[in-house]
Amino acid sequence: MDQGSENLESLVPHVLRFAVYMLRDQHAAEDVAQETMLRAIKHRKKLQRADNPRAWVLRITANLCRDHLRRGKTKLRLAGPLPEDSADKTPEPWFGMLQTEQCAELETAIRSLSDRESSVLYLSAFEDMACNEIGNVLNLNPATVRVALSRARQSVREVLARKTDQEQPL
Amino acid sequence: MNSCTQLKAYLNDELNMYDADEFTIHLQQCAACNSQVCAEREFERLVRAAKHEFDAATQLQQHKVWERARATARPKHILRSPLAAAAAVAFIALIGGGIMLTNSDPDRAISSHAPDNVPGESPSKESSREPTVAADQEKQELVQVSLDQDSPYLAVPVETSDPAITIYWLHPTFENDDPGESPSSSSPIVNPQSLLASFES
Repeated sequence: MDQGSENLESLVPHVLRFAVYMLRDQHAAEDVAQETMLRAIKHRKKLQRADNPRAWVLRITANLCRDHLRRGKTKLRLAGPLPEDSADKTPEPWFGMLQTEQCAELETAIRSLSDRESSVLYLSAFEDMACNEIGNVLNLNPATVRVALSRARQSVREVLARKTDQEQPL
Repeated sequence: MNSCTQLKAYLNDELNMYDADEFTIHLQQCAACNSQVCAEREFERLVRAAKHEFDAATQLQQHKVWERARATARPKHILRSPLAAAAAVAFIALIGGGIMLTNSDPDRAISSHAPDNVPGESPSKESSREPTVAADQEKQELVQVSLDQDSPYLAVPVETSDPAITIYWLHPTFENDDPGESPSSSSPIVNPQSLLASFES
């Protein structure tokens, strides 16, 4: 396997993790990740020239995830009103395949965020990306990213602090 | 300056060493700030754990995604490679040329086909069939047709899908300089009139 393939393969965990995070659906995330990697292979030369290949593939992933979610909403709209029991249906847990207590805590904290705040927080916390890199991935202004990140962190801290206070009553 | 306002800067590692030390002292006295810092540390710990667990649990999926993407991309890359495309064209041209040469080489055809069972003409007595000739080649027989005495033609019968119809392909032969090595010694001279008569019948 050549150097380029190794570099591309090392991006797969980042892509799959981000797709699962955004879609909350493991199978859909695999399809999106596959499509992302396919595009990365096709545009390998462009990717090699990119300053930040990880941001480049994550941007493709984000766009494909948005398309997927939009298609899902359109399908639901075309299918007519939702059945009554589906109103209670919550999306799959973020790391549904793990089912650990820690992930459940994280899931609870993140579920309170908006989609934008959630994505910004993910890229900052999980991918250790700076604000300008996050803006590049999500097609946002770095200042907007900074505000969204600050709100998201504050929100998550409050949820986790409340939980810690409940566990340790005075 | 109220130290509680420095919480955000502290969490973002934006304080200098002196201010950070001061804020650490403040944390021991302020329960609200302490709670926020603990929550931030907890969040970071959860993220690290989740990241590690997720990567460990999705090893198989990661491999599957990569292999599927590569498999999907591979055929298109072969077609797009100019070298591979040129090699494919050259290969097809070689094979095609080889087949055409095999079919149009009169010497090879004469040596490998016996001129018997020609419609409207009796087979030559001197002609002998080689034992190595394949069965399917035996069907394609070669006869020499003389439209006039000076310019003999080779007539190659080509079978069609209809067994009742046989098409003859006429091809001018070499000059008959040496009568001893003439193909007429092994191939019968077919009268075109009798050939036409057999077609009509």
